[in-house]
Amino acid sequence: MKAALVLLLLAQTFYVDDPIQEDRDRLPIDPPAEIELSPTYDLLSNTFAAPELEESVPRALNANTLGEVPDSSWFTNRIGVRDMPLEELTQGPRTGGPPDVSRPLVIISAKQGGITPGFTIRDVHENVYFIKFDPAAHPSLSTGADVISKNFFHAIGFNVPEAYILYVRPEYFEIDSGAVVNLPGGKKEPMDRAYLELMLENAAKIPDGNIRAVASLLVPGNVIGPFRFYGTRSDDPNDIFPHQHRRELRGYRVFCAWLNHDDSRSINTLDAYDGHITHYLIDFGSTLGSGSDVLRNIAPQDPRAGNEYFLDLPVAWKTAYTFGINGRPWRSVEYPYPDYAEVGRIESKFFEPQEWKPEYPNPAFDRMLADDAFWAAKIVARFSDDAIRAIVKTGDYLSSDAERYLADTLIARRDKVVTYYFNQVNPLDAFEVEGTTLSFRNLGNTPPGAYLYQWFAFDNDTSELESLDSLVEQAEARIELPRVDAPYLMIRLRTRTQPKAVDVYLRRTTKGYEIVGIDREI
Amino acid sequence: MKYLWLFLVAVSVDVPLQAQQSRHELLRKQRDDKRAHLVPYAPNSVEQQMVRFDKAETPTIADRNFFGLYPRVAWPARGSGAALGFRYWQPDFWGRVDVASAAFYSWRQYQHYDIQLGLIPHKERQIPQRSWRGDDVYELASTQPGFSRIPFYMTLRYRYLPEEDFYGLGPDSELDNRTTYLQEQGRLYLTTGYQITPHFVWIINGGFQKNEIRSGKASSLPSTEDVFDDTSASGLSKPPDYARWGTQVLLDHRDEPGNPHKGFMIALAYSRFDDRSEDAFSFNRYGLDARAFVPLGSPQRVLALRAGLLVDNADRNHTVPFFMQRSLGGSHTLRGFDSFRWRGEEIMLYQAEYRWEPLPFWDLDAFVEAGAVGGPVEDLSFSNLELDWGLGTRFKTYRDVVLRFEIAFSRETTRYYIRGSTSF
Repeated sequence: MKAALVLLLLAQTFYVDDPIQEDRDRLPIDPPAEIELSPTYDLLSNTFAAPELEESVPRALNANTLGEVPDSSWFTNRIGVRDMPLEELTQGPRTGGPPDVSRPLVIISAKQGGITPGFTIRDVHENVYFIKFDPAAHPSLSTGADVISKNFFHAIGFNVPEAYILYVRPEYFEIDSGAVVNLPGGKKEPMDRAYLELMLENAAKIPDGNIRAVASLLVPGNVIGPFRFYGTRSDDPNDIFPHQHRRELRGYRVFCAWLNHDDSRSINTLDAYDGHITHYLIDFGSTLGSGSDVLRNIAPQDPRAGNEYFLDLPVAWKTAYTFGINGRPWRSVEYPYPDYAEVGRIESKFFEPQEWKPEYPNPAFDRMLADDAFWAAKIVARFSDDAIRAIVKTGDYLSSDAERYLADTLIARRDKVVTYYFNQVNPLDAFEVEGTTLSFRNLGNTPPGAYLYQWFAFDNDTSELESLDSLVEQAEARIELPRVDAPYLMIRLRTRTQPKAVDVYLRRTTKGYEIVGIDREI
Repeated sequence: MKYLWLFLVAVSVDVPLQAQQSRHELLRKQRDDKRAHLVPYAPNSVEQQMVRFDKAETPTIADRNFFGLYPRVAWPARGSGAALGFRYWQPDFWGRVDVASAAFYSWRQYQHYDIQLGLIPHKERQIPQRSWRGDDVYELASTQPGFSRIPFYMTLRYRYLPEEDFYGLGPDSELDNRTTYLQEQGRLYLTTGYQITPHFVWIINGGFQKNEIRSGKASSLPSTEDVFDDTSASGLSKPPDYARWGTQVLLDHRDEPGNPHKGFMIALAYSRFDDRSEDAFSFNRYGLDARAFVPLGSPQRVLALRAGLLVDNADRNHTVPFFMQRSLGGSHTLRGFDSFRWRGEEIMLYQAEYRWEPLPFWDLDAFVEAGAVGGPVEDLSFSNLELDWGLGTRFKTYRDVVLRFEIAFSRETTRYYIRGSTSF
């Protein structure tokens, strides 16, 4: 049965609507269950009982035939497919506006979860925001990181909540009679003014005495909990691709490495139901140089973050039996902290994107293949120096030196990401057919030397290839199409410096040939 | 095989066996098929429990209390063995006055009861340090800087210690002379202090101490009075009561006192013990405790060093009762020797530990120690240094060691330890 199925499917490699630009996964569904995720369970299960890696990790399942990620409830192509003006990049996900502080902000509950103290508030327009503060010892640290990273991830294509830097004073707040404080031991007590003032007393203030905060707008729809990086939601018919095989979730590793988002775990994701489920990334307080100390208080990023899992047992054993001599080179990395205190601890010299690790293993990250990473690196490469500087500016740091340092660091990290991942596959890209010519570009830093190619006729029903000529070598990145009348053509391209092939499929239409598929050897 | 992913999409979902016209149709059919076989989300029981734990719907064991009564397991005295009991803690009970109390009974029948009243140092609403901290050689520097207000509190305490070991005084005491005695001790004292700088504190305390010495309760060992007399164990027949006062200064630059990776600490202590009953056992006590924690190229490798010196100086024609003299041996000092093995009016102690940290909450350690006691008969001398060494492992939080397993070797014995606190 399965064999017949495969044959039937393989009988048609490309469908008439390939390559699809949208995965229509917003079909109406019944309200799904609310999921509560235990951070401890997530840590332990992913560390000690992680799903075993497949013998041969499959290619991402949701990529289209060009290897791109179609728009969906998970991802919307933005900077990867079009130029985004700086205004749009810095606007980020924001459309609604910050909380209206002309009238009191009503605290409706204390924040639960996450590592930063905060409240949930409602403004005069009934908009609900989550407000978080920097600790007094670390002004701008987490609020700056949160807003900057949200803008980056939004431009990349993920769904993120709107976020605003806000400057407030204690008198801006009123406490709703139903607001409670969760005490250690599971007890709750009504929130009072004393609690509010204590929390604000411990929050960082700017020189004029105002308290700096970040306000994240509640996402539309009913919040139904986080998503996982493995499997699918059993009660969501739209969710058919196992999350570990979604290209944008595998490639998320590259983005997280670039932006040092070590806290990129399920607890910092969110699904919202509004007729269908939309999948969000939330809480970017522990990104860039901001992190937490061992007591989970906001602090400059722990040097371990990004370099070693929280429970990295192989490293631990090696350290144990070598009497501690086993080196952990990241321990010796020098950060310009506290020179640029507002941005915390982030650097670019020691950083190697392929070595970067999140807080604990992530099933999607573990399955990232070279073509997933290439897709992500192409998006990273689209952020120009100016774009990075403009987005970093949205962190509204007090120190321009700190802002400059962070932007320089991200530019250097971007270059490392792009250089490394463009070398893992054949980086020929931007294929276009103009008349009877196929043109392309080499995205890699390594000069190609020469291009080696061979044309084939491709049978879309049987997937068979028929060679149309012998291997050709040429220096130009423009190749004449063969003078044949085949419905599908395939060209296998290599370069002198990159032996891995990239196969490009062309389909004949009434207007000539069009690119229908790209397959990179990994 | 090219387009392997198409194959995987096909086998990962049950696609109806008919040709699809478009990719969108194919995906739609997969979704329709899933819709027909939806399964409600159901976390497993472990996960459900952990959700409750994370949300603290179920208080952690450490937080469980009944109107301020916290069940606890503790080791209230050296040699007591594990004791069951409770601590009572009500911060700001009457206005700013705190109330703390403890009651413990060990499997070796040691008993400890205390009540503290006043402005007791504590962090936020956490339980304060146990009242018996600071009693022993290894806890000379127990008071930690960081209190937010000037402490001023009273402590009333009773202890019943039925099997205190005594091997004789000085460096020549014999292992074979092991005896036990029963000590009852009541204390009432006041404590206050001042934080001069964030790392420098000054503590003063004073009060009364009543002592009773009787026959030891260990059936397998002779009682002290069967082997020793008032000459070899002064105060044995007429244990004195004391009026005592003392002062302590502490300069603490450890990065985290309960789990240091760098820094140092120096404590100096002076205590005056005035015999209120016989006028024969008055003495002064001087103490020095210096510790340094040196990272060896990385915080994961720390060399921990300690030097301690304790001198009891009896008044003219007075002696220091044997049970008031401090001792070496046991889980914090000379770990290769039995608890109380070396007792004297003068004590010196040197400890070096190499601690390496495979994980932030897991330490391994190797240690060597040397210590000696002296007294009126034989002065403190390096020639009397006793040596031991050992290995261990610890599980800890950022702030404290939670569990310590150690094995220690000396010329006399091999000792194993399971403890809930750090060595030093």
